[in-house]
Amino acid sequence: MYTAEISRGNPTCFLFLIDQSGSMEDPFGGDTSGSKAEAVADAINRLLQNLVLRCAKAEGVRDYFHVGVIGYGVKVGPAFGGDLSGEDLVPISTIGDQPLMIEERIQKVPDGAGGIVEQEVKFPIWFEPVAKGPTPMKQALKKAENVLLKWLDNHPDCFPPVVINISDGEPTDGDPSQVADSIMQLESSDGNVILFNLHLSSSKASPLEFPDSNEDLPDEFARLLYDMSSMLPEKIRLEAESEGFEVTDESRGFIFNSDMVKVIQFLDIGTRATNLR
Amino acid sequence: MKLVSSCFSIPKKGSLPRENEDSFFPHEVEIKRNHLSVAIADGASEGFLSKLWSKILTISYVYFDRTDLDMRQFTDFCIDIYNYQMDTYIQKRKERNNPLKWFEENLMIKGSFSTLLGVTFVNSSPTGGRWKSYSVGDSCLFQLRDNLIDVFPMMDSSNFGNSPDLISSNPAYNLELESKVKIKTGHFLFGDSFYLMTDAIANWFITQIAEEKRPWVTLDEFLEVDYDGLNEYINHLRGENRLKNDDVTIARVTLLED
Repeated sequence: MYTAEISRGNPTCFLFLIDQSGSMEDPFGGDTSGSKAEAVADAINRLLQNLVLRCAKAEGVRDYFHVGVIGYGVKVGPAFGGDLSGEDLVPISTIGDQPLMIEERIQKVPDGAGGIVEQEVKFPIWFEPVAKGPTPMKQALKKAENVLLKWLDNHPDCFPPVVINISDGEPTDGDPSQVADSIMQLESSDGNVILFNLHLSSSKASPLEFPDSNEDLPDEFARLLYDMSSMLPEKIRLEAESEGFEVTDESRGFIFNSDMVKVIQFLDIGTRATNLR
Repeated sequence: MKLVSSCFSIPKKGSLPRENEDSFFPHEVEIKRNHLSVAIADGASEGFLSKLWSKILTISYVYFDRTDLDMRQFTDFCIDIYNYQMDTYIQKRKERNNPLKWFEENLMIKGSFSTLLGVTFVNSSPTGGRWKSYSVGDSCLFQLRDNLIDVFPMMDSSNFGNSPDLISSNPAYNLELESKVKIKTGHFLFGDSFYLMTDAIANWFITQIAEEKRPWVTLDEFLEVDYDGLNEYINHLRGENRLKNDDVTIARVTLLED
């Protein structure tokens, strides 16, 4: 299980569910420079960039992945802007070709002689921060389930899709556990769909990454998201371990209150397909 | 001394021949010289113009043709060629009104990556001579007489992984280059054959040897007469999951008395 090759003939999909409720306007953790919504938008844009780069060659971007971003706040639905708006799942080559805009950012890179130099790099933007309305997480998961059902119908042998839900708390449309269970029961011939949850809580509780029990979690919402998270398949567990996270056989795809560096690592580990062909 | 080489190379299943990022140099030839080199390289999939980089490494290795190779100097030389080729490539794209896209620019900053295994043969006696091989990464060399004489640098199937050592076209990733270089020397007799292989097929070859089989007999037969048959055989091994779906390059070099 979880060994299928990812190729242009047999792509997989990544689906991100982004909480766009009003409370995402609150500051992110200890970082006072921006809101949770801004931090999440930045992390998703960074991740999309990395996914494009992983598939990019000189002759173009190879469609190893199809990617969807579902926002939930005032409304529930695809969250890409511009020419991609309204699309549930978009081939990664189309994502590469159609960012909303491209910023120039300064990146610190090794200079080849042991030092660091600043270099200008292109930073494409696909997804802008939104923070308004309630938290209809259950509806968002239902929407994800429908998207995945259709995907799996057309790609029965794919590497199992990975769904990453990013939220700061309490669902306002009822208990989403059952829908989450249904998602985790969906499967390709290579294994069950993987559901990860990233909890940006407003509580001051200590961060936790890839926990193997819900005992140390401070409230029922953190425990809810933990319970809605898949156990890490061996391949992903090894990736997490190699990045320095403490994981066990029972670890789940869940992180709580972590800083932005860990959030980006978490997203990267969840989408680090090594079997690209 | 006469060197006769045959080379077979196919891309991973589902890819086009032009997407094959392995390189071997020189191609099918018969060369008569008393001092000569051959090289194989496996361009990393996640990189910009990896084929160009693997090609520059193999061709340069053969033209350097040294048994006292300074790998740092060699790599810097290859990087200069790569940078020149990149400038030409970018200029051509501009002239065709097809400038680099954002992802190509970002990939280009990171650079290209490849393994390299080169071997130099020196005719030093009436019956044969010495060889010396330099390697970075998991491309492999096998020396054969009637049986297997030597294997380099991977000895066991478990040595292969997803992150082999690589040489980069970006100096920032070559800071620890010297620690990645493995060197081996040996002797050959005229009539000996050397197989150079990229990782997937080398892993299969080593596994076969561990099972006390003689995989070179199979490959020898195919390389003599039947490249189409070898193509089918490789795809058969891939279908049975006995061979990782990766670019496959098999080069056989036989050293003969002139």
